Amino acid sequence: MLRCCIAAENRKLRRALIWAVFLLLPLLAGVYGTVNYLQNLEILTPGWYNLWTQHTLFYSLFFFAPMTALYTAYLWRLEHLGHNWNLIMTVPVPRFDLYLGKFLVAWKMVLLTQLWVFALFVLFGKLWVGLPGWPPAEILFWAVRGTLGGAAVIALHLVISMLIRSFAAPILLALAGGVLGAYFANENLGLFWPYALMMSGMNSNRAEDLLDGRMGPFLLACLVWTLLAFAAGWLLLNRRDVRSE
Amino acid sequence: MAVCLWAELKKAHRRHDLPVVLGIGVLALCWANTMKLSDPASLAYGYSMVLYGLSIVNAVVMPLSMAVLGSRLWDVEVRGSACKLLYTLQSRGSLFGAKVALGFAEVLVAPLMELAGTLAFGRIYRFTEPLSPAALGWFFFCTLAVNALLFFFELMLSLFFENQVPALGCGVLFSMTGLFAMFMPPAFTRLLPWAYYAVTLSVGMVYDESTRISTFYPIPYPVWALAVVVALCGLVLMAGWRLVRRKEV
Repeated sequence: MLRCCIAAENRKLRRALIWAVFLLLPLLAGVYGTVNYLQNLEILTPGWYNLWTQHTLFYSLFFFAPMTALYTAYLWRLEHLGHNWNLIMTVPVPRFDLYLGKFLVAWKMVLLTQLWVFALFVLFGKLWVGLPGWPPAEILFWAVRGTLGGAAVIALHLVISMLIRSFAAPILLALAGGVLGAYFANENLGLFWPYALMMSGMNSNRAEDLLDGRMGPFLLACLVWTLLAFAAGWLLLNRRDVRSE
Repeated sequence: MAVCLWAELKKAHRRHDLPVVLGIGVLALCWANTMKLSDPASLAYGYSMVLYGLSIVNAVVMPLSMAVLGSRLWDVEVRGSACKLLYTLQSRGSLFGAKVALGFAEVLVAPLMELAGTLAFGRIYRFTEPLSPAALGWFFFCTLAVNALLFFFELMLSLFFENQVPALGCGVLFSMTGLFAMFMPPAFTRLLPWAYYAVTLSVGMVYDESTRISTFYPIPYPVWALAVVVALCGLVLMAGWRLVRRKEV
């Protein structure tokens, strides 16, 4: 059943306009990051680490969460149109599979986005900046680690987008969450706020690893926030019913 | 027209627009409050610092927020498949006029809150910089004009595409490029209308790296920038009206 749900969600993404955002947002972040890096070479230590911070700082601070919210709101939008909610409430599929299917597809999107961010980072680093050698494997690890933090945001926003029928409102909430996340991360409280997990995982504002020696608490925080959102999604979906109008 | 506006107000009430518009202002002010406003070295430039900081905050928050407001205003008709019914019950002009009037009222809230917030910061943190009503007024009108431009543009996108992804996607991209433009050469920033929060600023900043202290200074009001924004507002409104007039149902 879960496989059917995933297939249905994947079908929604075919030729969807959301891919334009997927392509453009990391591209703009990469172009700006590279320009900024080249403009500030007298302040920055040249190298892959500082190029990474310039590429990902604003992307992970403020724009990753709204982008993820856009993905999740898009996956719920069809269900909120017309009488489709009643339709999905009556399909012979365990209700949580509907949520889980969306989660896995949104996570796949986020994983692809992160790979696109990393590919642009390597491409611009080699061809535009002309950095010697290849980026350290540690940076690829940070990009993948960011998706673990992203999982919590996806799980949370699937619940928010399920509850709020409006397509746009969850995206504004994500921006607010991201701004608060920047504050939490600055205060070293990143593990206590789901929107700050991704930026901590990405290590986007320091050249040295922010989570050095704290990987365990980070993974635990990602797991706890994701499971809390799963529980909320499970509870809400099982208590929700058809809407009679 | 009054009846149409009343209908739009009822829709806004059901959509819970009030918490959304108030939330936008609160978010901007909370973010501005994280600047070191109580720092004794900043008090002499308090108001200038707040205005400068708010313009950066606005560059991130407002494009996406205006996309949210514009998208929600039209999406309610799309989701309810109400366009056909509405076009038979009322003139297209009255529908568009009421939506524009309500939208403008919603857009007005955030700059008003920022204005009140700036005055409140001055009192709370006891800024020693003399208050310049002209600079505050200029900031208010410029923020309102850029917000209105973005709102009308996003409303137009929502009218054009039934799918709300383009409007919201543009909102996210405008927020991102607006923030980037703040740190780019002025010639580049002037090319992006959604980055005019920075172009219309009447405050400049010099950052001393050795002392790590920022000082602010007044700059002449860039009247031409406000004129550009107002003219673009008019053009976008006209394009939106044209879309509504020609829209097939």
